[in-house]
Amino acid sequence: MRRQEPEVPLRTGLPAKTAGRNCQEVPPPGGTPGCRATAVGDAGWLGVPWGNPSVAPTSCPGNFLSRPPSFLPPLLASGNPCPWQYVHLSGSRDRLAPTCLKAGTHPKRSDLASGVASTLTDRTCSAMGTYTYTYTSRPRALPCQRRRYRDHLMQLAEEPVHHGNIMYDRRVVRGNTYALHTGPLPGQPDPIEIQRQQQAKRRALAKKRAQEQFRPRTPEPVEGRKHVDVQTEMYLEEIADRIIEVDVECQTDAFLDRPPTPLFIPAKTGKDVATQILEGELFDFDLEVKPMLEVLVGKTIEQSLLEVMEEEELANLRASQYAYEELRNVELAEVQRLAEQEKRHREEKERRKRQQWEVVYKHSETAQKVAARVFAQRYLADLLPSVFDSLRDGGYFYDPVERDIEIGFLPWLMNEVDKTMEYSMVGRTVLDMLIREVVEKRLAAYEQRDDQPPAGKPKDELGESGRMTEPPVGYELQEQSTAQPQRPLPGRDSLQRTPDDGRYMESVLAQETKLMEEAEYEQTKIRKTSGTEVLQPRGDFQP
Amino acid sequence: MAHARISMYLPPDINPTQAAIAYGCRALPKLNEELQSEDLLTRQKALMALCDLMHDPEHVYVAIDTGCLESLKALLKDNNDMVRIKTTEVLYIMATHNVGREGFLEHDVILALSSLLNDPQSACRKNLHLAFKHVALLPSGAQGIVNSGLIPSLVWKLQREEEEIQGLLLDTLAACLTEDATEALGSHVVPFLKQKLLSTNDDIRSKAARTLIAVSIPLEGKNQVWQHDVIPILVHLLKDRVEEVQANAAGALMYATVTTQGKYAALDTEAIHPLLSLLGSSLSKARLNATKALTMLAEAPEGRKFLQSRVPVFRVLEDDTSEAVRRAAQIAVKVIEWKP
Repeated sequence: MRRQEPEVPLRTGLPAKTAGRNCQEVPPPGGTPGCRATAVGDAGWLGVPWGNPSVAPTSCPGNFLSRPPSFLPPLLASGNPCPWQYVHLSGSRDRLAPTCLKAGTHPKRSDLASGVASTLTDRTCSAMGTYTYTYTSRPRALPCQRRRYRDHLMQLAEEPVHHGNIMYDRRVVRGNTYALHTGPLPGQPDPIEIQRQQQAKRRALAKKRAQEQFRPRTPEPVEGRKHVDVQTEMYLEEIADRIIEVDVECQTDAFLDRPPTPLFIPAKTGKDVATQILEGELFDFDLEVKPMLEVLVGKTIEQSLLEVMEEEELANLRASQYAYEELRNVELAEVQRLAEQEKRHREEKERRKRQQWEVVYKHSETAQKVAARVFAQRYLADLLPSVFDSLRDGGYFYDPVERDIEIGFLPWLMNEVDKTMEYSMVGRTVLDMLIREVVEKRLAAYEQRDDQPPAGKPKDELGESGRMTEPPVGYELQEQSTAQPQRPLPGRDSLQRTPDDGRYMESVLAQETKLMEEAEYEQTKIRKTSGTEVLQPRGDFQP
Repeated sequence: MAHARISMYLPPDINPTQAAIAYGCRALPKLNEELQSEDLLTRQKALMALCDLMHDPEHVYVAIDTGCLESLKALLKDNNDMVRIKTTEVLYIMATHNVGREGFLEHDVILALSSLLNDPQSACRKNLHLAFKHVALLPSGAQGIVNSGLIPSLVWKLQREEEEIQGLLLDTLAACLTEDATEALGSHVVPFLKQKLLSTNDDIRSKAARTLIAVSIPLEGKNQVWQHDVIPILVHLLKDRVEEVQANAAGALMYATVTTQGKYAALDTEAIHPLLSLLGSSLSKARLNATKALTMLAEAPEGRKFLQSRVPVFRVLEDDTSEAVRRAAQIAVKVIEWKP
């Protein structure tokens, strides 16, 4: 696709080039080898390769160089010097010119080639895309076909092109066109038409032959005679097969070469000025090469500078980043350290505060304890003797042995005493009963004996008094047994009086009471001990 | 006189490998069309021409404007190796310009590039990682890389790739992790970096240390660094023969010793002596980082006790050329002489 672009400027560039050069260079006759490959031949057919640029655009574009100069220049010599710059504006005109030239210098050119060229231009025009109307065949001035001079190979380009006048062109239709018979002339003859024509011809021929058969002919000659054609006109005419031909020759001179156009040398005006150019003055390689070199080197250096700058920038960035990172790391570490320090200090402070608080707490507690102790001591100092006193009074301090005796022994003693006394009482009761029985029996006996004065009453009294004296018997025994002098209780006093009576009864009933005495003795023994104990504290208590 | 004859021949095709660049503003649209053509040769030639043009930021802008990025993205999936290599090269050159980076972020080129992470051609991957590295230099670019979830695969690649590419990967990761390190921490970046710290290649070591700096900025990173016992290695690297490595190791230590565990780990491995020797280094970064690391260590009572005898060194540093170093030295002195 890239190639299309140069094509257009190429084609329009060519004319300018040639215009500038003004046929300084004569291309070598064999200078179109490549084109020859595509062309049919060189003599007279130079036009064809030119006419087939569409066929060979990609091949040897350089060969264009060799071809153009002969064809193009004078028209454009007067034109704009750099047509390729105005491609868009006047391209059409420029393109028109070449095609016209082409057509003009190749009168024998086939319609095909011209058609191709024209379509090519059309295509390029339509490729331009700036026209709303496209021609199938662009209008062009037709060159005149009359050749005056022999074509020659090295045809220089300054031959004036003779255009034919269409007014006198036989090909141009004149007059009304509605009744014209447009035969197969435009384009290819219609094959159907040809066939029909041929058929018609054949038919006509056949018809003619048929008709000839039926035409009346002269009868055959009689035998011995011969038909002879005779002329009957007045003047005889010689009839011969051979047509009298008269050759008339007219000799022209052999085609001469077209004489070269006489050089137009305008009259000399002005002054002659000459400049001598020495070798090397016009073209200085160094000067010429300088801009190109500048561009080349400049571009390279630019690119490399860019890359180097990039690297430098990156390096700078990295360096500054490192520095920044260092600082940041350090600052961050500092911050963390300070935070850590802060935390530790705070914790330390907390701990110490707690310790202090505990110390203070303990201190106060101890003080309180001490104060409490002292106070308690003071308070209790008095308390103690009174407590002891009251306790002692309350009987809480006791001699355990004493207590034991009191608790254990004395009750037992009393119990024993009770028992003994009961025994004695029981004994006495039994005795009483016995006595009673006896007495009753006696009474009964006595009453039986003699319904006598009731001597039983004093016996009853005796019995009652005996009953009363019984208990004292026990006590008397007790008194007897106790050896220790005791303070006599009032109760005891009473008891002491009665044993006298009791003694009397005992002597009476010695047998029955012996056992009881023994038992009582034992009981009294026990009771004695308990009784003494009981007696003693009682004695103590009495102030 | 020279002939003012314009040659009928077209100018010779100086570089048949490059497509012809049309004049003026038609250059890039035409190349864009050629990129989308069916013919392999046309595409390759267009790519070569594009490579040259992309060095100019204005062309980059025009290219992005005319939608070259879409065709380039489509070409990334091409079957031909040469096409892919050249496409990644073009993208890398575009990424060196800010306009290009912005364009990448807008047109989601990062995701498209990530499909080539496993490409068989090493040149292709190298260009790819170069492109990523340049994109990551921009903060929003780094954020873009993080957002597209590439970090785990990049970290994983760290194990597999050749050394040059590892260097590029480490650069990219360092930049991305300063933005957001959480994803990387979740994908075992610390053990990998630990391995790289022990590599024989100086470049890799220094870049690995730099990435570690970025990793240990967040608290999670510091904890992981301590857990994986990287601190002894860092202390060892402080005595490395390459200054850059020393400086970066000091930086990583500086961050790792912010936590108390890190401080004590460093003190246990005798970090103070090498750090003190680093204070006399020629790289200002090394001095700075060492000063800061020593400041961290001076927060601990043992460190403070030891450093109290060395305060004169810091006083000397206070007259340093770099302002940051001066400030850091002052702070260090203040911390060392602090009494509770």
